[in-house]
Amino acid sequence: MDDVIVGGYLVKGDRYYTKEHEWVLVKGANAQVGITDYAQKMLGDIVFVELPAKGEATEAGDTFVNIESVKNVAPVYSPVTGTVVEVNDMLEEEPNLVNESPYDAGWLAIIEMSDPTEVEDLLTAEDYAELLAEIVKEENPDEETEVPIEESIETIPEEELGFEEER
Amino acid sequence: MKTPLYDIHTRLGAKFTDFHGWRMPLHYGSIISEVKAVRQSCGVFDISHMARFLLKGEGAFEALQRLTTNDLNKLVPGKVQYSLLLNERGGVKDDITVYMISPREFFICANAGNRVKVREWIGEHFPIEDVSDRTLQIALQGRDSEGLLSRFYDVSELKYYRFKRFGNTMVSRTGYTGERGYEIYTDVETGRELFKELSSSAQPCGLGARDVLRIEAGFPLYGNELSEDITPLEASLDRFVSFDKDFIGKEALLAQKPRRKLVKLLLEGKGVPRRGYPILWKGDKVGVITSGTFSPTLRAGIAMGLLDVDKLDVPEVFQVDIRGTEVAAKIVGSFVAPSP
Repeated sequence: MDDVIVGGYLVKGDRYYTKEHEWVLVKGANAQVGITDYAQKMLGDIVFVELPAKGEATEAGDTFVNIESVKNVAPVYSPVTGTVVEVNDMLEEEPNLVNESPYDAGWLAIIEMSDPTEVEDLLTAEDYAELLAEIVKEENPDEETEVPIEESIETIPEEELGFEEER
Repeated sequence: MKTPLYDIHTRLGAKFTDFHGWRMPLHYGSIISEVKAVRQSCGVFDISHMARFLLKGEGAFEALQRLTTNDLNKLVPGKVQYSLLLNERGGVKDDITVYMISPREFFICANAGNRVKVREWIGEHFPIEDVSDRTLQIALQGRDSEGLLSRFYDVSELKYYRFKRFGNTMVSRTGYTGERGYEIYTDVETGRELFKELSSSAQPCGLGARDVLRIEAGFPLYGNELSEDITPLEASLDRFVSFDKDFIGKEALLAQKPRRKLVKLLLEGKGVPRRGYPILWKGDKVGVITSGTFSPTLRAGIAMGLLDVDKLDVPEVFQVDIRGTEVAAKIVGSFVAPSP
């Protein structure tokens, strides 16, 4: 699937998602994990990211990262079961990378999956885009218009891209 | 409920939050940028959700004098006073500002969440008029606020905690940020035009920044640092309580020795203290965080909390239990130097 914008939030077409707004980019048995554009916008300015230790075991559904924004602390649930083999050390000094680049420089950790077929339980990009469209609609009950989800990223002016948001 | 400025906030790109039944702007993109704007230049807030009342006539002074903790004799027309309404047990019903319009006419600003309670409580003692719905309340805060507001009202002579009236509009040099700033009370029409004008020159700020700024300034928030079960003495608001006069709750305050005191804590390690987190000393729980945030100004976690009084003079550092991790914290007198 191509990248799409749903109600102002970018959804990348190349990865899996969870209902809790985490993304999973699968490379062989490794699952790179982060939070979505919608999640980072909901959290607002991120000031600390509490990462797991390398080598730590994690189970699908466990809180394995905590993200502190100015207003809140949000748990990030491990989307899969396995061992943490890499964490994004850049976030120690620059936690706001999660705001600026949630799908790239702001990734959180890489988990080596104990059962790579587990990804089949995750949402596809299409599923997540639909879920997001429903959420956006609920959040804006005043607006009658349908939330478009098929917009291609190339048609969106740059300033509307989540990760291009000026800070 | 929505304030009459709701559509303007939407156009400014606000993210909204529910606050005591009000759909209010949480931020317009970034809480950190909004806090910085107020600390470095100026920001504008819609605070029309606050409750606004008028008390007029013979006996208004005496009724308020008995209902509030601060001494109304310190007021003169044109002056504002921070004060507290207590229950019989010495707990706080609300914290308010009292504006003396004339010796027989008072304006009161109270918390949004306590609007009905305050109206009914004062109403038991003196006729009270709720003018919240037909007025707007806008705060303009930061060192550049005087220059900006002077384009609309002559506030050059206005001193801290004084107010001036301009026809239908009342401007006071008050605020909830610790910066030089103003609060403007006016009718809906004037307020809408003013907010549009101000928000084109000053950073619009939401309740997120308002909360961070007031924690940095060390101001209490009703529901966190103040409640029906917390006395003003525990909340370290002693200087707003006058024992030279009679007021409801005085006897209860005199009868009890505070067991806890509100303190300000600066985190020395990484992490953000949040409301409800325990304050530890040598492994024992000696207090609880009432409000906490990341301070963009200090680039550290800061908090207010209620601490057992016997630990007030303990020289060692404390720890805040942040979800199982103990992070060192020390008591400080203030977080940011106030420049009101």
